[in-house]
Amino acid sequence: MGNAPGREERGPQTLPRERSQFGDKLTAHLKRKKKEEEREKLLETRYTNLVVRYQETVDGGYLAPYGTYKAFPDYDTLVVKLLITERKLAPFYSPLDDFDETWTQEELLVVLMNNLRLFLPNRTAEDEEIDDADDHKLHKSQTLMKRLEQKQKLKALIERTIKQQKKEQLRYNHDRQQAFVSENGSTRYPSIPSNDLLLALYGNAIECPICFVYYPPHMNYSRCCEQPICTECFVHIRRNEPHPPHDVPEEEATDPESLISLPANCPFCAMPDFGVTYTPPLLICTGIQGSCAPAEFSIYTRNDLVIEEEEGSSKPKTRARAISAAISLSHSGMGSPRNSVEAGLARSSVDAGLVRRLNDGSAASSNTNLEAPKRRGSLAASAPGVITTDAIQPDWETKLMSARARIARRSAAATAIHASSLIIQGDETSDIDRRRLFRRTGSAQEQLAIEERMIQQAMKLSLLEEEQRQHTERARRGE
Amino acid sequence: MSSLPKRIIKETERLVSDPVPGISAIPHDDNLRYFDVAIQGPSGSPYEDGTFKLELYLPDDYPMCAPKVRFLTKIYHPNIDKLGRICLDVLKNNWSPALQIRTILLSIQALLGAPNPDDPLANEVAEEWKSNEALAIATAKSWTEQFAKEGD
Repeated sequence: MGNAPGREERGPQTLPRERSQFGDKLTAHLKRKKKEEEREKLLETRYTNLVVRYQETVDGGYLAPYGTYKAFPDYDTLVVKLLITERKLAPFYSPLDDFDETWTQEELLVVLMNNLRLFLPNRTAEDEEIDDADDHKLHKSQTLMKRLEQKQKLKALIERTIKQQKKEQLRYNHDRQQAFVSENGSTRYPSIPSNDLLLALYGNAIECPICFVYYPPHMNYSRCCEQPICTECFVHIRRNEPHPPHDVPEEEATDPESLISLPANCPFCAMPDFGVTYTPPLLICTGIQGSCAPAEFSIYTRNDLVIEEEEGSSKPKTRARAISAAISLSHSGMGSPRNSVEAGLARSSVDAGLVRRLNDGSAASSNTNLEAPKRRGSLAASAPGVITTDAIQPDWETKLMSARARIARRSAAATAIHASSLIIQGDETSDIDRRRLFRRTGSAQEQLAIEERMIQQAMKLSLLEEEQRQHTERARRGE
Repeated sequence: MSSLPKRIIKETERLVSDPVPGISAIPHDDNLRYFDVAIQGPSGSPYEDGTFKLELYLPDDYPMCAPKVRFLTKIYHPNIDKLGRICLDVLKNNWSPALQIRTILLSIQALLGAPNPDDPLANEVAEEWKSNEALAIATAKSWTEQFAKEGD
């Protein structure tokens, strides 16, 4: 359509009308094709990015979600991967279902060995929600085949993703076993976490208040009320579907412009524009853009940070050293804007806890004597270091537009049906009049013709309705 | 059952180990996402001494979306319709994944104690509530007597 004026300027002589139309069609077709290919490529990248690979590790966690939620999440995988490697968002850790503070190091290690997985194998291709549903239901004949084809492709892609994830898990199991039994395991399998790293991570595991499983204590914290939330739950929180403003039932929404889409609220305090902040652990910096490989991580190589368990006067001094080391580390900059002295102090109590545990938890040590972490107070959604749900799910705008388009289509269809029924009715305006007309003046043939048309219309509508119902059913089952 | 999320398992366990007074929720053996719920009418309300049965279902994407809850016992309340559907913001747009079965049922119990005829689901009941509150409360009491006090 955009080409129309151009064509007129060129005039009919320069190009035969038919050929120019053909050319338009061709370019449009090529454009569509290219767009489609781009879409497929994006989809491919997205699913590839959702595979947890143990060699892609940051501070003992990973770049893709574990799979606590059955449906594949909808977030922008590239953005999240980047945020994690930059230590602006907690990595996706493998969770523990249960955790007991009274476990000894050895017990904890056994639990970790037996329970840590890269992913939860509970997804199937059937589970995935295939979007589109009733988008094009009035033009179904034109696009049905294409849509079916797209669905098949997506299903195949998901199957490939699941297979790939299983392969990754097997590789991880194998390498972990090898690293454990062979002599130079840690050099041959640098991405397999050392026992020290595992203990440092899970020694003080805490429960995510949304999925109820245990993670290392370096979680994301809500920007407003400072509640912990794991990255997997965070990437699943998104805006509600576009909806009419309050008090207008969905079926009655006719003005597409009235649809609204609001940023997600904080799940804990309902503050609008949910966002989190993350402060990376001070003692642990392994894997991608880290200071050492996960296999090399050892708490003893960092003597400067170990709080010695000697009794007596040396204690305050070592504690001071630990704190100062923590602060200097935080100043060395690991990319987080919250790496301030304060944050360093706040986190150092957790880290000191780790150290104590690694020294086999002897004696109630300095941990409790450290300054209580200072309350940070709430931050604005636009404050540096705050990651909002919109930042990792930027597609809400497209969703809103397509929901608006859907309503516009629906009301256009309703208008068309309404108009056609007016034509059938002819001059008569009210139902009662029409019925009276049938009885008194209408010939039998006329009546039959009108009735037949009405039945056809009713059948068409009910077919459309049934189709829509099936679509939504399928979509619901798929979720 | 391996596909049941840990959260649902833990919530169920905690409902048993640390029950909410006046509320019970028991999962079906064959579908652990489906709960039989009983809520005691709050004291001081027209539903006092009544036991109201509800059904609660946790959809696949729970806790990212709200549980589906419906009254099975007939009840005269401006925010609960003939089919037992409940008009409560936290069951709809104000749902948050930090809420739980426990908190949702407490909210419903609170709704019994504080009917809100200005945001009605059962229009006739709401009208009655606004025009003649005493009569509406009497009706609610008699319904409680009639439907919410079967011996079992």
